[in-house]
Amino acid sequence: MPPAGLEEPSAPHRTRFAEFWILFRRNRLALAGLAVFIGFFAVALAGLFLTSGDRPLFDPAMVRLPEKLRPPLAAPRLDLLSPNQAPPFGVYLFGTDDLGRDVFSRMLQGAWVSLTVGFVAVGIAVLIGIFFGAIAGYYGHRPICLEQVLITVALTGGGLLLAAGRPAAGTALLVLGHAWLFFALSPWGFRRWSAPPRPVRLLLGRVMRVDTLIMRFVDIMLCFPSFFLILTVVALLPASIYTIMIVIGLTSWEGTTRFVRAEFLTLRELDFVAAARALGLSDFRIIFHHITPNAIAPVLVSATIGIASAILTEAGLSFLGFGVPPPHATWGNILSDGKRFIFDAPWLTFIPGVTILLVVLAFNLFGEGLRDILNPRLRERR
Amino acid sequence: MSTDAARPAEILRVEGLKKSFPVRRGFLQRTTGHVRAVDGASLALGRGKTLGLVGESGCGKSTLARMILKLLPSDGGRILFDGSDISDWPEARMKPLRRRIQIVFQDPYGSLNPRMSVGQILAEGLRTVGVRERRAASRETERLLGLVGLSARAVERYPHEFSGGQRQRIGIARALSVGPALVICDEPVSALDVSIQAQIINLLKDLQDRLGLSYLFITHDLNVVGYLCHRVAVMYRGRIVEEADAEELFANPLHPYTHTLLAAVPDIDTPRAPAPQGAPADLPEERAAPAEGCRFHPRCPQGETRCRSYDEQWVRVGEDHRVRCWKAPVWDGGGGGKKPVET
Repeated sequence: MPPAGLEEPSAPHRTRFAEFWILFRRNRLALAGLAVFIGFFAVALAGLFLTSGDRPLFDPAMVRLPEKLRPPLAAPRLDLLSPNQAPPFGVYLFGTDDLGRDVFSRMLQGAWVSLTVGFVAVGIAVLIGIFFGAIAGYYGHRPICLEQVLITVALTGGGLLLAAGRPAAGTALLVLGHAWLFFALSPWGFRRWSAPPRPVRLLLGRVMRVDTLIMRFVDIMLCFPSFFLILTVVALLPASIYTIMIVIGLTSWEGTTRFVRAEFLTLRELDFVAAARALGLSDFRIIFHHITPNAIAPVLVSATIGIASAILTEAGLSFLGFGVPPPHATWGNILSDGKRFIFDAPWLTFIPGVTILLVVLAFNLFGEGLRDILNPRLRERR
Repeated sequence: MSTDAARPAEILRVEGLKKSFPVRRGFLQRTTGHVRAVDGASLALGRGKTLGLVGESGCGKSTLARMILKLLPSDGGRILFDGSDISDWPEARMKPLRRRIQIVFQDPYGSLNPRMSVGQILAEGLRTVGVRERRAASRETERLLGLVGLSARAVERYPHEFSGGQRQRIGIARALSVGPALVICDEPVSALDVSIQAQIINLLKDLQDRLGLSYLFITHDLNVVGYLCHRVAVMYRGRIVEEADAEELFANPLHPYTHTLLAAVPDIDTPRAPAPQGAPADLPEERAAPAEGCRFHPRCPQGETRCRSYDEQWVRVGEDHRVRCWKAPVWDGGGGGKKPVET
């Protein structure tokens, strides 16, 4: 007795996004965070266009020596300036600094730096984090044997020797590593021997599990105070905004890895993953098409909060003088330049300081709002 | 459904399949023992037939199912699918065979990916059988949905928009998307309302008639078994203890455990029988270290001293009826009881 008619879905059609938005709207603070976030995005984007080019509307590099340290909202003394030096709209919105540069223009230029540093650094961190977390979560139970460790050591050691200018030793080690790798993968490799002698058995012995390797590496990375790690790296590398993005990204992926691994450990055991394997889908497809979209919620939360901390780190680096090199304004170096005049011109420290505070706070509130909504257990509390 | 004479009559044969899981204790997670989840289980399933696998929870039914699907490596024994031993095939060799064995899960909530629409879920299966072109895929999806009694409008919907029974239909459609010959149903109705259960059972039966599917139907509900299954295997602690045609098993159950199971089936016509004596729920520590002799004897109402040394040999009690109880023919007397033959 098959059912008479074809059945319709029973619940109303509402996309996940619609459901998410309904819940999100109830969280006032998160909504405020989102508003600041969008405002910041718009300002930064506008800043990019308004402060760059041949004749920018807001010129952050325009020096007006007679007009230094003017307070916010001061009108320019046009008799002291040439016509092209006049600030737009006839007002110094945030005042001027010790060289008479318009602080508002400099803040606009710095907003774009903060935004890109935040997003690119976190983007790098999230990509690395998902990759390692997925491997640790999905393949974590697999053993690593001594042979694999030795091959890896030979290959990386060879590469390092080459880079260090020892071509003979480096090439020898690389050739050895590759030969061994091909041998291990070939049908004659140790793995296929039916009755291996003792030394070979030792080579095939388990050293650790994949999970141990990755997660202990994460622990080691977390042991370094990341700000000092970044300081060291930045001191060695040429100062540029890209170096900073990459270095911040490379030192802040550990949290994401832990989140993703934890999610994978749960999701891997669910029936829909078993079903995907039973359908004969590839591991790649299962990991990235079936599991990762379900594991992304905590990553999104930590990424949002990560953007805030990346902005803060960049500001800190710029404040210490290790950040983006001087002619380019960032919130950190405006703050740093202003600290000498903190009693004469408090706006020079106050404005970038409060802006950093607001943006970081907004990202944190937005991130926490996201977490409350995406985590059903926390959702019930309110 | 094949009539090819060269093919064996059995689509699936399992011989002495084993799986044990280590029990780890303490700070160092030392292995202190093993739980023998499946301990030498053997089954045979005829082409186009349904084999019911019955047993209490924790007896190893689902582990057995996952081993047959090669989702879980087995520790020993053979799995013959369509006559070829697939038990030691590596994943690469299994790939083309995967589409011939599919599974329907118990939990209609965990078995569908919440981030994929029904269309995407079905398309995953279709991809593996080479239906990639968009229009062909959507036609095929519509056909599958119709097959399981869902409207084609379900395509764009997400699993959370469906009821449990509807989700189970989607799960069945996904299994059918690759055109399997054998479908393992791992308690497909036990998470559903009774009224919905009947619909799904009827759907499965209807699909078997139409597509010539073979089912390995895992359940603990004997009512379902009587309605759907041709043959029944009763599993206890990782081993099959009785195997017979469905009618024969209901008319003439021989293993005391089968009796216990049948006595536990609620029947509206007869007053509830008192719980059988001497059959308490089994204890976790017993599971780790099974009793000597017959593994049911600590719970068995008819347990005797000899049960402690009985090595659970099969006793053939009928043409297609065998049981692992040395008492079987003596105790039975009538029905299908025949001269006991030790095998």
